[in-house]
Amino acid sequence: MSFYFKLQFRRIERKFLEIGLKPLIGFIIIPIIFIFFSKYLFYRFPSSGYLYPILSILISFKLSEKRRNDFLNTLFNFANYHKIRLIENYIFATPFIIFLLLENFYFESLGLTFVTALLSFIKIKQSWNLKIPTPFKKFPFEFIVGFRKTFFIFPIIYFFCFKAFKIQNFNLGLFSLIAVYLLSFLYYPKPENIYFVWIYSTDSKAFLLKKIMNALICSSIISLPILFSLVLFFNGNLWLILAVLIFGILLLTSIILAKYSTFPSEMNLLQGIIYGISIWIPPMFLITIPYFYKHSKTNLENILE
Amino acid sequence: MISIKNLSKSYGNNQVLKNVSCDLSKGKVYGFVGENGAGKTTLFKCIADLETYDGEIKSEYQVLKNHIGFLQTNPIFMSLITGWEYLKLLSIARNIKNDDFEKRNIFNLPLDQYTENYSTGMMKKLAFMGILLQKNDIYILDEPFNGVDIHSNILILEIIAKLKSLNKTVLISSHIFSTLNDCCDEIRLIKNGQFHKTVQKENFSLLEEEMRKFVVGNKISALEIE
Repeated sequence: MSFYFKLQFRRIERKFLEIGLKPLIGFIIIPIIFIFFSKYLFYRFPSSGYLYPILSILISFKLSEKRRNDFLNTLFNFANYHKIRLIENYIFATPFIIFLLLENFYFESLGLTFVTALLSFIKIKQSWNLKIPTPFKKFPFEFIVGFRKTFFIFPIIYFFCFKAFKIQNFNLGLFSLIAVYLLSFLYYPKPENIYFVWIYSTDSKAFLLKKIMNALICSSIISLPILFSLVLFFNGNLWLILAVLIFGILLLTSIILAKYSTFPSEMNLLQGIIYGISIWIPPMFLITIPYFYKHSKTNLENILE
Repeated sequence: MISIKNLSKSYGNNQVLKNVSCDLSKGKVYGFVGENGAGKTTLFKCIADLETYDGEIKSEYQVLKNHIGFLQTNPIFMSLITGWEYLKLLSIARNIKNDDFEKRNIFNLPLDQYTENYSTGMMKKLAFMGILLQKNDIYILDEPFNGVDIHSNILILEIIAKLKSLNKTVLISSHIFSTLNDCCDEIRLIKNGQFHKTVQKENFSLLEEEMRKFVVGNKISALEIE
């Protein structure tokens, strides 16, 4: 059993090395980020204690994945299997439980402790037969996969938009537009298998153009109702709406270029930092987009041409 | 025609292919046999330009890989993608507009279901259908019969015969000798990263016998089964 955890530890170390980070530094940075993020969350939204445990439960859900658990079941006897599941669930949940206690959310902390234990006995099948329809049938594959993974968020975004018009809150409306682009952005960072690039019979420039056009068309399908409504109901703020639209376009264009600049590997730490700065200071895109484009083109030429 | 000259490939200190040379003509079906790790898949990946290599691979096409359909031993699929969407992706990649896949669904695959719910054989058939829809000139089929039911194996053999009649080049690897016996014009035995032997159709039975002797030898008696 201890070998299993040693192996998991080694896997995490390898993951750090893959993104160009020394494991020791990684193990120091992760808790710092966690503490910073949690502190910020509770400072910004004092009632986060009700939602905070959900983050931990989502991790436990991931660990409860059926195929993974079936595999562990074949490796270990009944007692050891349940010990492993309990230990790994609590490894991830303990920091959340402690933080809830520190923020005086005692009931939530106790609830999370209980749910974490409960989830170690449950197997969750994450692939199901029910096909979720998407409006992106003709544009495989990023938006199809992404939409099916996050479909439950779209009604919330549209509800925010509807609420914005009802209470005449422009910022809330603008937030729903930004949310569409931020969500679409999440569909791109993870590189696909090289085979799905290799199959294209185009040059690298045409390939990148096609990917960017697809992203812009698909994101427009989702954002246009919000955009039109904003223009219609808040036409005094056209410049702000336009600025958000341009930011969204730059966000999607840049993440596609950034992804293929290191393809088939994931973005390393340095590129991640460069990209993060660009999002924080959008005018930086003027430098980073040509930088990522140059590297993507060279990278893809090796695969496509 | 594809012309391979002095093709070598190493992974670190492990040289998988050693100065391999051969010509592959149109309208012919080539079989590649060898033990696990002999270098068959590496050879296919080099031809498909999915691996870097030393040596030369020439063809009449400006970009050879754009004319290749590559069926991998374990085809790769994304999560939450249906069979229909997978076929659409492969078609789009080769600028093929026609997406009436149901009409051409000869393997009776449930195209409206997620591919992750497919069985191993169904995945292989879907991937095979995908590269057929691309209308390639060269087909590389790495273990096309593995995990596929006997009825579909018969269909695959017929498809290979059809591809040959359409003047396509087909490269196949298989561990089931009888399937190669049925469809190949020439079989190459790969041993230690080199072409150990090239055999024409009339001598396939001799090759099979030689392989049997080499593989089995006196290993069964060493087991001391009683």
